[in-house]
Amino acid sequence: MFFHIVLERNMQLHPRHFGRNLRENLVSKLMKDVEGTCSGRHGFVVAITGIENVGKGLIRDGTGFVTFPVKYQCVVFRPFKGEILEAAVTMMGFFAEAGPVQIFVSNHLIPDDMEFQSGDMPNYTTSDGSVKIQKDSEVRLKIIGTRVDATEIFCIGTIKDDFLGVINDPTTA
Amino acid sequence: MSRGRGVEDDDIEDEEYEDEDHFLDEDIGRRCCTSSKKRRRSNFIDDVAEEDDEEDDDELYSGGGKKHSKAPRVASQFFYLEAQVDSDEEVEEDEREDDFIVETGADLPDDDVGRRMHSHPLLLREDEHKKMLKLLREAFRLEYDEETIDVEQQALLPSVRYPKLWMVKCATGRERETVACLMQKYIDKGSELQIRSVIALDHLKNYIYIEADKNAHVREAVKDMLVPIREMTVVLSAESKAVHLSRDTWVKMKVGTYKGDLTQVIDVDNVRQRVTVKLIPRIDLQELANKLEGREVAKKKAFVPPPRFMNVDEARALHIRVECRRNSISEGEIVGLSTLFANRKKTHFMKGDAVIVVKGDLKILKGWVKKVEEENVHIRPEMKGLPKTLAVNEKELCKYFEPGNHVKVVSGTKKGGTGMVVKVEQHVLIILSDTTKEHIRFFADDVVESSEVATGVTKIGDYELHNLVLLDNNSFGVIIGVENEAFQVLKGVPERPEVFLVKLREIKCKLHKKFNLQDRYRNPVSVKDVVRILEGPCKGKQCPVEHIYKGVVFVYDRHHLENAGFICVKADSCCIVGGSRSNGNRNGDSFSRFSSFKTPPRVPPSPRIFARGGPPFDSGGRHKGGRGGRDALIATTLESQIKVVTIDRNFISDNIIILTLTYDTSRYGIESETPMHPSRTPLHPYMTPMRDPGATPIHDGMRTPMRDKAWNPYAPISPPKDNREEGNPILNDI
Repeated sequence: MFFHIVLERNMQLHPRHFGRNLRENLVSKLMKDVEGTCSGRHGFVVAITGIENVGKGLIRDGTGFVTFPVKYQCVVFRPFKGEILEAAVTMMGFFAEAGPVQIFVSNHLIPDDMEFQSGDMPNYTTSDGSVKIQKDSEVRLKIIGTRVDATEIFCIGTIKDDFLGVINDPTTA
Repeated sequence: MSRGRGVEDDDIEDEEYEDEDHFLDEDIGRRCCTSSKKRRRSNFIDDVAEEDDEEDDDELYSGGGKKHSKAPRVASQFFYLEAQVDSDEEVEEDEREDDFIVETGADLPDDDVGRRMHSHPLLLREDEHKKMLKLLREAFRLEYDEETIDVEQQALLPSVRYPKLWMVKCATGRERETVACLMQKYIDKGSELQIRSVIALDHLKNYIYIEADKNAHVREAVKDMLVPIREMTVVLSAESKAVHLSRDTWVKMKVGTYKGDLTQVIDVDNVRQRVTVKLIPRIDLQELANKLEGREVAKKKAFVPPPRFMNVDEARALHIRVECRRNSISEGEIVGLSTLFANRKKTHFMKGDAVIVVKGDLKILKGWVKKVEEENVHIRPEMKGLPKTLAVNEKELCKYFEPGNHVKVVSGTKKGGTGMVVKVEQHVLIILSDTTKEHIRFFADDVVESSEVATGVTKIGDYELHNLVLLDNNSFGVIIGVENEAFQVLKGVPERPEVFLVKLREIKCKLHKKFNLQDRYRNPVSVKDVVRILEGPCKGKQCPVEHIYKGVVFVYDRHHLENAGFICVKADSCCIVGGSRSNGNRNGDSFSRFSSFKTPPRVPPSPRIFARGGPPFDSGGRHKGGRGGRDALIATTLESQIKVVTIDRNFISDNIIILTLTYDTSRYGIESETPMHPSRTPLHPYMTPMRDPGATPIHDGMRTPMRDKAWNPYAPISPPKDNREEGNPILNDI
């Protein structure tokens, strides 16, 4: 789920960036550092929307760097157990991506009537061929577990429940 | 009336017998005496009660009895007379008892009359009978608890004249019933039954004790019951010893070729006492061939053939006719047997584990472990309305997991691995391993819940996961997996990815020379650059380079499922995407990149600012279709370091602001940094050569010149425009 939260971070800035554009430098460095990263607590930081305030800088002894505590607002994405979301299939097995998070749906969590067919275009298809899951299809899935590594969140999802499964067929859409 | 009294007496005796059962816990020695002791005790009480009798009798029988320590007075009514008669003679107590019992049927009427004379009129009616029984029960129990047991114990020890105790075999679990039966019999038959008492112990199964003078008496009493008892014994005891085998249980073979092998039960045939099991065959094909061909067969197999799945081809090779027959029962996936074991050995429950009851009345009850004792586990049940802690036998519990739990393996071959639970099937869990993304099955007992994520064994000796190594035969490869004693190495053959299991000693050395290769467009490629694969099965993938060697590039793709994400490609079937992290100018760069004389050559040209909205749209050149450029960048920010995209100003057609992606600011005083300021003026259409329209673009081929001198943008080092065409004019200047 997406959230819009305020986070804080201590940014270190080299003195050469001082001057007129100090704040801009700081902001750009912040963006570079933070956007795209992921923490276990907040999830993936998708984008910074604004800077709330920049505190006073403190010069560190010995190095000359200056540390600024920066409060900023950002959009984060954090998957939760039990959440239902739409994702695009990337790899048979199958992996799906919902934004920055990767979700794995194991064979055991795919309805029994869907069989895996390997080949040039590997896909899962029902016995009567009515429903097909292949790469780039959109599926609605439910997250049953999340695992947080140091810098990454990995999820396991299922489509075995009601109202879950393929939404969109890439061939027709 | 006397008959009535007799009945009551018998009932009382029944009471005694029953009470005896209750009271006969640990002390076998006292068993035989207890019956007598009770009476003795009551006599004892009687003495005390004697005085009070006159007063309290009426009260007792009117209201159903006040209960206090003298309550046994009620019972003592019956014994009162006994005491009266013989109170002086302790020694003769036994005889008296005998009299009491034996003559109950016959003599009681007489005694009764006599007794009644002495005692107060005891008119126990039927409705009070029950109350009295209850009182008696309570009284005796209370008595037993309160009074000291060692009252006149020496007087209670059996003497020779005391009726003996005989052990009689009976049905397991039916001791009490047998006793009750005998009791009933006694009631029915009266004095014909010459036994004194019948005793059943809780802890002694299969036997009851009968107190009687003679063997014959015992036999007589038991005679009629013998037959049914015997039958029951056989049936019941046999049943209790059977091992319950059901389908899909794992069992170990005890004898034969497959001794010690793990097998799975497919079918249970109780009628014929047979079980069909499925196991890995240990077939000696050679011997089979020999046998078929009529050759000599060795009498005794010298060795036991190892367990292997049947290889049809091998069999055919030896000219053994192979017939495929599919047994309808035994369908199903063959599970890695090494990961399972037959018997659940002692399961370790830890405080806080989630468990579920699998046997007994409380089946399907979930709870959490609070305390673990020897045999019992105290759990806090999940359901409301139950006591806070329940003690459950260890054998009835099983650890419980839900899909989505993260667990760690604590025993078995995969010890130390971690993964997430995908599916739960009773005792077996299917877990998706963290390291290799595959499904493995485990017993619930082997795993504990943990949030730890294992990286797996990553190194043996000097070599770590993802190292590029040189092998014996001059081939090379990347280590993609570490197993017990060997490495899985992906060989450096771009066409067919092959994984070999390589032992430690077969590895010559690690390779870490920094090679510089050129990609398709002759851009230098080095480690950590992002390249796009242009040919082959992985065409279109964009991944960072992990290793380079001899014209072959190993890239790592997180999404690629095979070979742990490593793909091996030829250098010229890929092209670099994004900025190079290392030295060298690039064709078509509008910004120069200088190799600084300092070691980390991560010199960016001026920073660029990408607008959030639009990506830089490349119309030509290498970055054609560079719409994807931004996505590639974002992707790379997740996995690897930030890269600078250098785009020839000619190729940029949109008027956009490009976000800066510079390296960390550890470069001091590199001249190239200075142009940053002017270049920040964002609205310049051609972002790149901001400072000096003429000075900046350093053309191809001019790689060397900047090495010696730091480039001063404002100094006219770069040759004037007209000189540029001459090629390497800068050298001249310097």
